[in-house]
Amino acid sequence: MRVYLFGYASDDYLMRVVVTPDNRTVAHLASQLVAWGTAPERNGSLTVRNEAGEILDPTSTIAQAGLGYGEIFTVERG
Amino acid sequence: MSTNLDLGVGGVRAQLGDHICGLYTGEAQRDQIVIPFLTAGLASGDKCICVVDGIDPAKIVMSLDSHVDASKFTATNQLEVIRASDVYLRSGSFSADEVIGSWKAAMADVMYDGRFDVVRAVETWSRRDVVPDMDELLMLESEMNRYLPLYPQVIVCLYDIDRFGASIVVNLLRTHPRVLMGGTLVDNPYFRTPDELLIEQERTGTAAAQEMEKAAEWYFDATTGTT
Amino acid sequence: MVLRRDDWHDLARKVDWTPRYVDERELFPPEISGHPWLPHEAWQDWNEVYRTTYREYVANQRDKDAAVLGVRAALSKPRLFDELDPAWVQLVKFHNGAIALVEYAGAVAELRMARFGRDSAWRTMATLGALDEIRHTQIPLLIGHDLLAYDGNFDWTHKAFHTNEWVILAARHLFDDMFLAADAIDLAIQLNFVFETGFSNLQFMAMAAMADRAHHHLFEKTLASIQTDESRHAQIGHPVLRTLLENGSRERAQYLVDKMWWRSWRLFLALTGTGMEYLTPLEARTRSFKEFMTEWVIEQFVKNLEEFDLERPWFWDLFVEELDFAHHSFQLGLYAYRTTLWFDVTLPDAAERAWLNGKYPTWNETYGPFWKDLERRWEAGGESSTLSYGLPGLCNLCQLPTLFVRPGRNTACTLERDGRRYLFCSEPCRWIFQQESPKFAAHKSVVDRIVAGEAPGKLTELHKWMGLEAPVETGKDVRRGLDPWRLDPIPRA
Repeated sequence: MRVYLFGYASDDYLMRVVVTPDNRTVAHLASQLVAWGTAPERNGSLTVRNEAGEILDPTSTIAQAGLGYGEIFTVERG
Repeated sequence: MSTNLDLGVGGVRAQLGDHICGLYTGEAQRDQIVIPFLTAGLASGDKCICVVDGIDPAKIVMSLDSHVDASKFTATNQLEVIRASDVYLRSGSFSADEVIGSWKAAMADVMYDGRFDVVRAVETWSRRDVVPDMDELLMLESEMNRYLPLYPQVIVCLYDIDRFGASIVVNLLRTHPRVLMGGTLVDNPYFRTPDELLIEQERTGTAAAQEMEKAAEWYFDATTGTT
Repeated sequence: MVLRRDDWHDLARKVDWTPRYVDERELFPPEISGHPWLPHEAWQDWNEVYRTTYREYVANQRDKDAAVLGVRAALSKPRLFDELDPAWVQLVKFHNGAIALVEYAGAVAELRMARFGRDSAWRTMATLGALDEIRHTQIPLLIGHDLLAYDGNFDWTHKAFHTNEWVILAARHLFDDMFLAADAIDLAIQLNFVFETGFSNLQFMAMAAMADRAHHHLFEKTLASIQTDESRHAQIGHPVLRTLLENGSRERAQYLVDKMWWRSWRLFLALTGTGMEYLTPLEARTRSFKEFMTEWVIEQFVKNLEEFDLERPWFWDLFVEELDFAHHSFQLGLYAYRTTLWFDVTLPDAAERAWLNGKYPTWNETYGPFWKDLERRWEAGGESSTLSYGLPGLCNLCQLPTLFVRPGRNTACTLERDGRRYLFCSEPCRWIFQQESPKFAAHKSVVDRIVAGEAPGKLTELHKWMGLEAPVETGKDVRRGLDPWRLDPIPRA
């Protein structure tokens, strides 16, 4: 199932709308947001959190991580 | 949703996020990859984008028509067949940044369209309509690797070796993580990430030349079955 | 014998109805007259400070119009337009499009009070207020029409409010809430007390000061003339608020003030903040937006709160924090999405950045890297990598992109209601939504509509949906332009 999510990367100025199948991994989701952002060329670690601030397992799927339609996730760039 | 998909070519399966290069000689060989690749994609419900050089896009659609109802797929926008010059020469000259911008716009279009889980893209290069500056082309193919995560996608870049010459081989090896050769998909040990390539481009001299020789030899051996 | 004005005016302005065929509640239904519904006795001491008769009104307004038209005749020479700073011209375009038909909506609101206000003096002031707002519509339409000869996008002075352009949708959402969809009491507090007494001074008088220094004297005179009317009908709010407070509606009054302070702040940072600090030539900037806000808006607002023994809004600390950042963040968004605007935007040059850092000491550290990166992208690869291709999240209340407060501190939050998840740029926007969910819940932002397939996701089609005929009408970088082919769709087989 495709879901739309709102993602904010720590080095960005804007929250962006990302649409993705929810059986992609959290790691894929983080990479997707970074690719849409202002500095895709910057490498480094990516830590994904939900709106409550809980760190999400990068290997779990988006659905397993509990991210649903219209929810916020943040990506902390190391 | 599976993370691998049938390329439609000889049972070869690719992974989502693959950026694949392949060589061909002449239109017949080109179509042996392009047509089944697109046919498999349309059958799977994928968004299919085909950028062709040196041929009227309508002819590709006609060729596809013998396998699928290509006209229906173009009408619903699941299939887009585009002339290379209409994408790559919009600004009047070939620019890696402009092409990447067009690709991002295309991915945004697909992402918000809401109908497709996967994008399948194939580009054919033959130096007929578009004669790219080779440094700019190298930059484009390399930088595209940063944008593969934009949306689940597989990109296949096909080059007419008769039109580019053997010197294209090493550049393709530096910029594509996987290579389609002899009906199989092979991981490319000479792939350089965009950052590695930028560093490497500053290197000159013997070490760089030796590396390129090794890459060319590897490709020769792999395609002639001597590996 | 002719009566002198002072002999009859007080009597005339308080002549009122005693209904006999219907009861008072039918004549003034609470749905339109407002809540709390009080008998007329509660309203009979409604008094405005600055009083005028209709005869005086007509005479004064005729003089004001003659002055404006006189300046227009004197200053409407082609070369005068050519001498204006190109970025300043964009500010006028932005202002005109965002304001002209809001004034017309304001006329509708004043007419609502003219019929359903609970006291005759209130209704009289509102009648004159409606005439004011019609004038405030006509003036920008007139000036905008003159400017069509030089820039066709001044057509957006009239057109804007008939489009789905996202900045305009944000403005319409605000003004529908503030007055067009509000009852007479609510709109008196929200429009007259909060917006007009507080903020519009900033838009009209501070802008007029800058227009003077930008040598756009016609614009300066029209703004100043408009503001003299504003001060008169803005006074409607005070006696309405006083009556509410005297009759036990403190909580409701506080809510309306808090809500409209926040919503007005959102509009002003977007329109006035960016205009003053990114479209006004350096030599015309008399003060920073923050300085203007502090002196012209905040001080007056706090005085008003004290007069009525109301508290500062609960989100005051957040508002104060945003003063240093919010409009700068918004400018980055305007620049990245400039093709979706009807006016052009700027990338601040070195001198402008130095000025900005002088006024906001963390500006270089917070925003400098983004603007430097944009400069680098222009030089390295041209325009394409300075544009943004994906959608921003849009707040389901204020309809603006979720980019507040600043890079590194994003205050977006969500709310689930009846199976739908809503996005907000900040706690105050979410709080307002929660207080009046039935009013706001069915509305869809531009992003909601795109994701639901009700608006196109493809940029070339989205421009059309927003009313922008590419490339002529779409916004661009003022200094660098826009490649005309960029917004043409790529042909497909």
